[in-house]
Amino acid sequence: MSRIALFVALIVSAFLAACNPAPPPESDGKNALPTQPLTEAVYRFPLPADPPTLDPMHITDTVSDTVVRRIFNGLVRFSPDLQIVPDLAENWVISEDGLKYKFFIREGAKFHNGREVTADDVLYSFTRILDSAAAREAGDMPSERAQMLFPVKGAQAFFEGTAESFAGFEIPEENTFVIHLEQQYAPFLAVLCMSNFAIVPREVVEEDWKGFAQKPVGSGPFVFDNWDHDNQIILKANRGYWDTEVKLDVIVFKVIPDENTRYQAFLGGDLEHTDIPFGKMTEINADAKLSSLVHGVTAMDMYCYGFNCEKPPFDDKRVRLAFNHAVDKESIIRNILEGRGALQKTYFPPGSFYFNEGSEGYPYDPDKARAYLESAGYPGGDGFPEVTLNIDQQQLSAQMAAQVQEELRQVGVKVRIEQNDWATFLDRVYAGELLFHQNTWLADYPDPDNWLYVLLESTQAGDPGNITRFSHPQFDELVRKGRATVDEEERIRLYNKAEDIALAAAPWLLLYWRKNLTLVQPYVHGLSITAMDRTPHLNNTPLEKVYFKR
Amino acid sequence: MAFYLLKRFLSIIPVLLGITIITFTAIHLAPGDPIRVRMGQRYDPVIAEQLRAELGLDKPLVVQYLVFLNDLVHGDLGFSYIKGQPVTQLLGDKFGNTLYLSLSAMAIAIVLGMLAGILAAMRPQSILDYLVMILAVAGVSIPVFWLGLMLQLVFGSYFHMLPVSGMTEYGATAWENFKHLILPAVTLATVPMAIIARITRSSMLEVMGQDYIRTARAKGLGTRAIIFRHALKNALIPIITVIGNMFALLLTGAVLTETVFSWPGLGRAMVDAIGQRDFPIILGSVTLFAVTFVMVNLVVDIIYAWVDPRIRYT
Repeated sequence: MSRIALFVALIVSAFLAACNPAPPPESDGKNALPTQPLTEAVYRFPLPADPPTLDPMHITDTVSDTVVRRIFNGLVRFSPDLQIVPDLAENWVISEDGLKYKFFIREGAKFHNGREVTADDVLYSFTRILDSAAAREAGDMPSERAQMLFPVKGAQAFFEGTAESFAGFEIPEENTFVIHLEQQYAPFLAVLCMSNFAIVPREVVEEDWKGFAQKPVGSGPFVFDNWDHDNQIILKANRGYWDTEVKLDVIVFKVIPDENTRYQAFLGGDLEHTDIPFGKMTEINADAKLSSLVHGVTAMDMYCYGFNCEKPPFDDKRVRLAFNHAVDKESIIRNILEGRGALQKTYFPPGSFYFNEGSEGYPYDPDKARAYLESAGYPGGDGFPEVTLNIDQQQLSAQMAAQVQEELRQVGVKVRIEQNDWATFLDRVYAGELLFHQNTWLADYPDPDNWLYVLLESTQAGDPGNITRFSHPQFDELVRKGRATVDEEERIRLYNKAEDIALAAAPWLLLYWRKNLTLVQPYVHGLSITAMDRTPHLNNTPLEKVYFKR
Repeated sequence: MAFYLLKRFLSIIPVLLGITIITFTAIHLAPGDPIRVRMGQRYDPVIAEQLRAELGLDKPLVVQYLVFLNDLVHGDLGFSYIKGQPVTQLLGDKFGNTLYLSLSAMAIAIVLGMLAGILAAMRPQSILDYLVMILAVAGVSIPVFWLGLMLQLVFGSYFHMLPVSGMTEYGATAWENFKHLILPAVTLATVPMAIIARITRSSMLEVMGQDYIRTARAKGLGTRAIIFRHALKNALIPIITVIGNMFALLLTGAVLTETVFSWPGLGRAMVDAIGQRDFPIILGSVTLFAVTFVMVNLVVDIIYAWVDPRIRYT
């Protein structure tokens, strides 16, 4: 009996031990949680994954971007309607030849450690991104986004280590910072709004370069407090924020990977907002209370398919046009997306100074598709090889692919669907192995250059972004001119022409622009979701003006 | 006994060598590149080469493996390719969280599972017996993610009684944080509870048919004394085996429960790492799993000897 009693005691003590978990990792006493949470305005913000980093120079994903944008400021930033507005740069002047950008740094803005932001910090933050030797010395890796600064004079040679210094940045006088470009680069100011170019306090980074990714210090509206990996990140209001009075007290980013769990947590009152799981939109639309909580806009966020324009059968534009006309995209948006998409009729989304409003895209017309196939030498699909459509592992992607497969079958084309995990997919698509594949893109910055040049210009083929390997000399010339022209009217003219060429050549099977529809609790005010947001992480939505009114 | 323990500890070495070689080969044979995942959809070959050299991925595979082994011997599992954190710290935190969840689930499973098994064995072929066995079959058969979602629906969004995600709440009391444990622990406990109930029932039934139980009855002992003092003690060995196996499985395989309830555990960390080709985390967690399995089996063997004095190891 004594042994059994001991065995039971062991189980009970194991249970009791389990009931008293160790304090969450990363908490070191200094970051102890407050004791009066009920009086605070706490925004519980869902994240679909744990951010890989909180060091701005290493950000390559939207989840890290989400957290970092609340902690840091850049020189410039996007307003909710995606205009470029002053951030730490109070003002700026661009020289007439477009090669010199002079920023006047705001006085009185302070880092979270209390020190004032200076032009020296700006110089340090920008140089740090290009200084791969310093990163290595600190035991860190070079910045994954250094190439975004390669248009700066001498930057690439400095990054590659072939030059010891470069002339691209300078501080000509107090509180000014000047960037010299190699050649005109129209979207440069918009590029600087990316969170990679946030301003960091020099002494904090130099003290612990690698640790900065885990305990960042910025000058933004919220102060980093604590990060319990894969569970939550806590930010607290910056009470001395230079720009505006922050209305919330705390943001708790909760890592919740499953969309249905996020939805249940929102319904249970545990989140201030959430995305809408696959298949739930109809249920929400039928519920007057829930449907009144839906917010969001059409985002500069594309979901379409790409053709490998170098390899048969897709090296023939008639085949690409046939595929485009064979698919009933509106039915996909209505039935599978439950309305969470806007029909894609162009190669660049609405949301910036340029949009090709007159385009009709490729309307659903199976007869036209058959005619194109016949003219390409495949009457009724005869002789057309079976092609594989490669997509990711999302349920949504699979359902859409199934409808596309069926509609192409009706014009005589046999399609096989293959789902790959994301790492495999990236590997294969950039290597040019795939013929017909999913093609997604979220704007880095709201400028036609970010789509038409990066995704379709011929020198960008493969790794840099043109995964369809589309090549058209006249198109190339137009988009190259577009990035080197500062005048907006002229750029609109150039991009209109370029897009007409793309529309005629059909390198993509256009599908839809995502809508970032988000459920927001009724007491949350001041949340303006922008066209550069993914949901649920709303990376670009400012939170400093959000408040609760119950 | 000391020699036996030493022997068992040393047996971990070939197991680890074999398992790490297999894992290392498999992750390098599989398509997908950690550098590409790290760089996202804006891959630059110049930067990629620098990153590759920095992580040692440009070296021959054999060298990479030997570097890993050398670090492992020194108790260092390297840094995560994607998160940049030390793998030992990252896995240590996650292992603690998983242990907390698994121990709680095992406590529920053992107490309720054994109780149900004993009750069923006391009245074989009764309604109670059938009920327990039907529930046990259901417990084994219900998919974990479905049960998790149903519990979330009922206790979370419908009755607002329990939180449905995460491990802690900002500014919450210890009791409120404890509530985060309830749904995932119950979900995770279902399968082992059902299996323990079945094995307890059958093991008890076998023992209850033995001569010495009849003798005990004949000399007028009460049912409680017979069950707990004579029958259960002898029925324990197969139950402990099952408990040991189940516990090792929970520690390493709670990934569905951890995902549904956003529990920051080891299973989720490993599945994320596989998706991101984060080789150091994959190798580190496989090593940790192997050690865990060997250790749990060792503890089970020691408990055998303790429960049954006839078992001795040399």
